[in-house]
Amino acid sequence: MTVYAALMAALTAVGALIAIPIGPVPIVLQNLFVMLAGLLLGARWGAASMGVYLLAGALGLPVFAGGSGGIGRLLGPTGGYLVGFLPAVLLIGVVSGGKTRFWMRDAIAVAGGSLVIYGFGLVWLNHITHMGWDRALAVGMLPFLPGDIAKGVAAVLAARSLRPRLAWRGRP
Amino acid sequence: MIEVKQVSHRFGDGSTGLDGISLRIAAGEFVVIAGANGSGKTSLLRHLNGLLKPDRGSVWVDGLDVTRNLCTARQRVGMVFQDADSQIVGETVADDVAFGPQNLGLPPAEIERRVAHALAVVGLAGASQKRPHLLSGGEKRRLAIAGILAMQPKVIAFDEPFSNLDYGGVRQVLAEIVRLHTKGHTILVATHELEKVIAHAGRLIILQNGRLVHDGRPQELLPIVERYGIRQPWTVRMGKKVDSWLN
Amino acid sequence: MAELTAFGYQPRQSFLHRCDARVKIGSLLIVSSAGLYARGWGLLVLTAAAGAAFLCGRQPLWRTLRELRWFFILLAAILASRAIFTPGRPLVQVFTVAVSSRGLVDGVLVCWRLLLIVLSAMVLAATTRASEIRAAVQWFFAPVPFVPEKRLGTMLGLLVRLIPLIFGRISEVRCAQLARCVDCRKNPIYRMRVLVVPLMERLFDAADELVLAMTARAYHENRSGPLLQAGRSDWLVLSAIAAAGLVAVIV
Ligand SMILES: Nc1ncnc2c1ncn2[C@@H]1O[C@H](COP(=O)(O)OP(=O)(O)OP(=O)(O)O)[C@@H](O)[C@H]1O
Ligand SMILES: [Mg+2]
Repeated sequence: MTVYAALMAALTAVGALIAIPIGPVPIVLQNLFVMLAGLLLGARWGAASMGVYLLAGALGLPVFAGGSGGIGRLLGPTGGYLVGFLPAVLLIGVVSGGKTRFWMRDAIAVAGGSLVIYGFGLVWLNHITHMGWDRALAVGMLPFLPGDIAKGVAAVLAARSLRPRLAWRGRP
Repeated sequence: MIEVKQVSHRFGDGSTGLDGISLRIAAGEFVVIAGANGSGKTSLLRHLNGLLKPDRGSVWVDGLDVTRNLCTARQRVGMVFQDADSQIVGETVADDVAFGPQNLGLPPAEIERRVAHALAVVGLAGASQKRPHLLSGGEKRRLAIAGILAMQPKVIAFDEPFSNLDYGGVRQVLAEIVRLHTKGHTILVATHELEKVIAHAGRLIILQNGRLVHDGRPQELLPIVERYGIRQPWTVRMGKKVDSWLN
Repeated sequence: MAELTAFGYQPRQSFLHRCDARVKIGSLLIVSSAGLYARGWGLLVLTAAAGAAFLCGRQPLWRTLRELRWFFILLAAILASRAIFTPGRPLVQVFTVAVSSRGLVDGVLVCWRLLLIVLSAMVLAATTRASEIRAAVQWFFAPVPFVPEKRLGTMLGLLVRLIPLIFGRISEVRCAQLARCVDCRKNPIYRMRVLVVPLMERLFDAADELVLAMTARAYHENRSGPLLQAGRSDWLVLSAIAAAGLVAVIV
């Protein structure tokens, strides 16, 4: 499990670093991997993977989009979104976890997780820039909403195909 | 059929992939592209279906410029990769073979027909509902071939088709390649293991450091291949004719 | 992408390179938290401290600034936003856009703080080896309950190790799919799913293999890491930074 959590952290990092030319515009896959961390690893290990990711970034490993910057990145205007990954994954893990796997639960979990990320992101964005809620919403949420909905759907679908294989491989 | 005109390619880190390569391949040929590790075999194949774009020069397939007709070029020139695992997309064998035709937007009935046909050709018809990851190495490679066949390409390019295969696996895949050639496909095989395939080839191309250094009939080039870091088939060393692995 | 693997570490001989990683991380924490509260003179004190560290670590200024080019854009956006949207007496007015003096001062202050913290963090990253950072992290988390610090160190190491591997796998899978005309499909959800599922499956395999390889070389979590040693000079640095932080907050 340790290595899988590290893997999800690394994927989150790579997701921030490259935009993949699929769809109408190149898509940054970071949120997709964040959601998958919660869906596949569950609350505990998902949160561990995000914690490691944020710690690595805070210590100066260039795992955040647009270069290095360490802890300053977390305190910068976009830092709220990054910090929000941690509670988001916790929420996704808790809501989607449990005995019965039901796609509705995954979908609700992913939607909730995304809202948590936006919540943290917008609060901090507004705090740093003083732009006001309506403008923060217009700059920091609405343009990304369509992409995030697509990513959420893709995450739920991907988790459904990946889960049986993860269970099958036995956990070290 | 395929025409490569003065193609050069340089990678982002400054290393040279290809350097001024020109060649022409007619329909129905069986060409082996040989060279040491890092000589540019993979880079050359990837230019043929537009996975890499030439920095200088151009590549033409059936008179179409590849960089301007990506979809057509990719459908005409199928490619089987060095690492069969990275090609697997679907959750079952049949799903995986259907991936290409689905991307081409074909009607479902046609897709089903092609999948069944491709699987039958490579002898995997019985395994169509199996999970691809459970197949053996040789079967995975044949699955990759089926995935390409379902797109009905005229040219099929194989990148190191024998790597990681045991004797039986090599024979399975080789038999497949030869059968495809007799059915009229143009075959390109990039490899450094000449011994396994050269008996069936009509033409040998030797690359070194991204440059095309020789292009000719295998009988003429085999005596000198060791200069370019390629191992000579042992029968040639013994002064005999090359022997097919299928015998 | 090669720089990614090395924590941005620049091997050089300097006082800061020899300094204890724990002291450097501690100093960074002090500067960051003090920087968030300090105003005016306090910030100046902290900036002087960070500047001294920057010179001491012998960092190329130009390269550092270039690394930060995206960050400068963000800073400019903050400044503009603060200046325009903070209510107050307008300083200049262009049509309906008014720049208030309080907003301008506020904006400069915020940008200054962020820049200060980012620069300090970059000095840390440039002068400290990854293994030292890992050891220091383990030391910091040792007294924290519920955090298995050794495992944390292992995960950081794995993270660094896995990033280049992921880049390789992504390009492999993408190439194979492009060869089968995946770009004829326009639906982004389909494209994402079809990319991510095989990619992650292969990565889970690779991760398993990595664990096997590490186990085969007798890896275990209680392994010997680099020695962390705090000397007199380290304590001196820490106290100096702490003093600067205190002054900055009080002033
Ligand atoms: N993505 C890349 N980025 C940078 N350099 C590359 C890349 N891919 C290949 N190269 C370089 O280009 C050269 C040719 O590589 P290529 O893969 O075409 O060789 P090859 O003949 O297929 O080798 P092999 O037998 O190992 O498969 C090599 O020197 C290699 O280092
Ligand atoms: Mg190759």
